[in-house]
Amino acid sequence: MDYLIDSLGEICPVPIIMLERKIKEVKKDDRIILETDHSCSTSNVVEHVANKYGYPTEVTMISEGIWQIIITKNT
Amino acid sequence: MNVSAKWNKQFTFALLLVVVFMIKAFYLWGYSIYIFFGLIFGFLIGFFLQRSRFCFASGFRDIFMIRNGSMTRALIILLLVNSIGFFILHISGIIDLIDSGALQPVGLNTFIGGLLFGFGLILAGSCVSGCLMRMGEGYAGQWVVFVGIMVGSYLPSLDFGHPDASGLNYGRIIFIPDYLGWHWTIIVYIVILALLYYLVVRYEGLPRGKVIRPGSGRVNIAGNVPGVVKSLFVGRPINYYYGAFLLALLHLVMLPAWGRTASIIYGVSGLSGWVLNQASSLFVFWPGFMEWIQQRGDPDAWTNPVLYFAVSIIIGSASSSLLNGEFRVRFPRKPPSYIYALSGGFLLGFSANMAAGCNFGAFWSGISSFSLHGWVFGLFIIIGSLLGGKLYMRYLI
Repeated sequence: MDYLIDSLGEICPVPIIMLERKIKEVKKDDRIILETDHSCSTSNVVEHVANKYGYPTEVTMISEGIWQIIITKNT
Repeated sequence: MNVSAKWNKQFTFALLLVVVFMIKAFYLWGYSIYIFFGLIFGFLIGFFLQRSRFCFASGFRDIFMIRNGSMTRALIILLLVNSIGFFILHISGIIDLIDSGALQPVGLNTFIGGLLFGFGLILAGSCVSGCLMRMGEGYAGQWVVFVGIMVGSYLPSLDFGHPDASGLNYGRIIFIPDYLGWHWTIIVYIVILALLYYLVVRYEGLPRGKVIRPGSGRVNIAGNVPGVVKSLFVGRPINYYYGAFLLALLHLVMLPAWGRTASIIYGVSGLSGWVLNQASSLFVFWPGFMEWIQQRGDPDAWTNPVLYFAVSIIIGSASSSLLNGEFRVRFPRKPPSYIYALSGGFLLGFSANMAAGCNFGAFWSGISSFSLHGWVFGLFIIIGSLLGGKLYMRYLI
């Protein structure tokens, strides 16, 4: 299942906090799509998820200054 | 919506901005080489701050707030490379840290300043350099933070050893090599920074398994130099460690060339004074205020190379984000955000004035110049942001 988190307009640390809450809720093989316009998130969310959980992430810029970060909970 | 067409528009604008900026910078070289250097180094630092999303505030805040030490580790690397670099430059006579290093008294002003700075960065969502970086990216909220910083940095700081105030000086400069000698200083620095790195890693409790980042894989640098150079400017963000390395390198070139360490806050307070003087006709009904401003005798803001450095950080960051199609004017969604931004910025400016520097001037430059005030400031920023973070999580989220 895919879950969308809309964090447009939020700056650190809100996107990660929203993500953390969601990660706890979802099940294995679910994907969380974090939509953010905060450039820091493209680095800090990726690092956070990679270091803390080892989940794969994919970052795409879908519009000027708006990114979608797809996190797959693979465990 | 055709996104590529818009990206090309941003890209073109980026090139235009850089060209105009360079013309202006070289023109000002004729006027003052120090202003020129302020412009160039500010631009480069702003550019690479944005390229690597380098955020000092995250380094102070996230280790305890979300147990994420990525930026904290990068800051440790920054300080390590920078201090060793400054050490080598000083020992070989290229620079004289006693003359041009960021040496400031450490006293009550440093402790209190650090705590308030920590609080401020939680409210503002950034530190002083981060604010400039994000202004360049289009964050309207950070422009509000900047106004707060302007106001806060202009007010006279509480007089706890602040060297520019009335002459009372409770604190003193503690230049570590004066106490330990150069050999012990550098050894202690390496040991302490390595220990801090280790503690951060332990506290994070990183998983032992494979860490998966997007697009990661072996990069064959030797076979692909043009690709690597290109990746510094466009494409995926530069990873935090490389960002730290680049910033340290820039600082190591900057100090011998420009004669100054990285600093922002006194440029900003000068700007505040200038703005108030320009707007003096508005205060005709409040003569006491005008007298106070005149008494301060602010030197001309626009002859201060530090102001040019600060403004160029914004332009460098804007160029970087435009180059990558990432520029966007972003407004905070919730109205209270503007209040947090203004008050956070105020705290940042006020505390940086008090502690004689912000995260650039007191923390980064201070620690790299082997001045104790940088360490004390940094420690109390972490404590301040820890306390502020707890309040934030409980009441403001």
